[in-house]
Amino acid sequence: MTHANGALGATPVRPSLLEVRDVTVAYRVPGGGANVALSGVALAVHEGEWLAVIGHNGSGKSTLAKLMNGLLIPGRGDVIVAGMNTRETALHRAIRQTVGVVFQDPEDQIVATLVEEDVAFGPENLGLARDEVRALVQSALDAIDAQDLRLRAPHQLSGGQKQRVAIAGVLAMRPRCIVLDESTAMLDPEGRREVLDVVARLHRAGTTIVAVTHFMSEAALADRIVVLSEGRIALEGVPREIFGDRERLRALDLDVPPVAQVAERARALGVGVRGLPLTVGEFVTALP
Amino acid sequence: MTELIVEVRDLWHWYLRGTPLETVAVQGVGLELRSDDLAAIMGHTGSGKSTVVQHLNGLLRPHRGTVRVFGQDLGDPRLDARPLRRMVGLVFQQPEQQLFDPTVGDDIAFGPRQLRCTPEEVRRRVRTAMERVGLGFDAYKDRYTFGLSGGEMRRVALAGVLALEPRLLVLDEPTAGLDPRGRAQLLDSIRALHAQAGMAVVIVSHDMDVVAELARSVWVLAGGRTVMHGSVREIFARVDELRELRLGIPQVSELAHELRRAGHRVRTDVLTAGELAEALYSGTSPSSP
Repeated sequence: MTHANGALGATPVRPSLLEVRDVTVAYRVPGGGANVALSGVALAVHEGEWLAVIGHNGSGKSTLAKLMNGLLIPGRGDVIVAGMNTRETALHRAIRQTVGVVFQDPEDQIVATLVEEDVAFGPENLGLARDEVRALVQSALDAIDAQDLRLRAPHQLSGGQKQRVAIAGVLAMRPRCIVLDESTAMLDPEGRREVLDVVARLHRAGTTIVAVTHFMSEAALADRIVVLSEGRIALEGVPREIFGDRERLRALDLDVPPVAQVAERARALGVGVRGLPLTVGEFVTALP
Repeated sequence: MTELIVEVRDLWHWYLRGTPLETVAVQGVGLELRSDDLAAIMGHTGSGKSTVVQHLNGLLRPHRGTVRVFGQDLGDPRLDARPLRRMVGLVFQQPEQQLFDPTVGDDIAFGPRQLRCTPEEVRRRVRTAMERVGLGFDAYKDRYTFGLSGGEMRRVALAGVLALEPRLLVLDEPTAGLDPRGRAQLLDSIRALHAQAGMAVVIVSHDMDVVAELARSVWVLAGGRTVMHGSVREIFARVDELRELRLGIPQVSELAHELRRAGHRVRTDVLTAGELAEALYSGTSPSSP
């Protein structure tokens, strides 16, 4: 496991799509002083990977997500998206076409009165031709498997459906990377599954995914995990490495997924559980 | 002796009633809560959970059926529901969004001050409420509200409701968006409110893991009706029905069922990681040589 403190631990096998270079962000607090949200963070997101970002409340996760498409400009350091520095305001349009962000509350990101109009909002603002917009909306709705929702009013949809529509709105911009900032936190189990299915499908199709989450079972699905604590990268590695050290995670106010907790306790009782199962499927095959 | 504090019988409620957009939200819900309950109301989005809960302190009045809370009949149009709002504390989803005072102590004191409590009484209530949610009075009362972590802000919001000294506490999705530690601390606070402060507690949640960890009894709503009721263990043993209702089950229960399906001899009515580990142990030991 890499204890990253500025240096990039893993050898990047793929070119990086997004680079966070020694970034520090501080928010001013009323009454004087500043709240340091991120401090000297360096991170590369590789093209095509699924990166999970975990950390306790206030660890800097959401700040990191907002840096990734220039919603927030770092106080110190640079964020480079496909070669573009987010400091350059003139590049913001191109940067946001490359990296789309989906937030926690679907209500905050839906603007139109019909699903298809909502999904078309982005491409229309790019000034694309009607046919082109229509084709983009079509393929975005295909990607989230929601042609049946096309003419529905967003407020009549379930939480999971709304969040999928928000993802479609981002997809219509044909981004290379999607950042999900706790996008499943407010959904019921079915809604969460819907969104995770869509994310897995996009990942398989080659879209880069950055998922900020509090659900350890969701982080277990990623290719790589970055753990933030007090605005710094505390741990970085593949899920198996990260969840292999429960004490360390607990010290960071986190925990292993429930399935791994069962494995640990069963092993303590003498049950032969092989390896470190992180999902239900893995556990079933880990028993003798 | 425990007493019946909430009695909901054949409750019906429509939204936009009498307009072309009229929709029925609740159609025949039944629910009972006793003074020592630690219960959960579960249901898929649109099942009527929130509508039912808003009847418990008179925010909504029944269109048909009976709702009795602490002996008060909410179907009676002459009933003044204000005293009930003090007895039934409703904590909405993401209550930290309703915090407004820059100082923690003043935000929590808002309710008691509205009740025209004396300054000493306000102070006592604020102190008690803060201690009950694990925020030390001296350490936190003068802190800047909006500089706190998400978990701390949520506990401040809960303390604001507790300062009204309710006898029944209703929490809508209490742990949504909290990190594992914030979640564990909040669940501990809720358990203590129930066990030590003697409050009846109801959580409304679709997080099956939270329900499994916290609740003793469960009411399941679907399509505006009560469809299941029982102890938390009984309810989570009915996996197929829960899946049918698109509710899912706790991860631990899911794992137990998958293990059983794969031929392992393991109990499936388990709720926690520890229980499943025990079940695996006792399932494997007799067969091992």
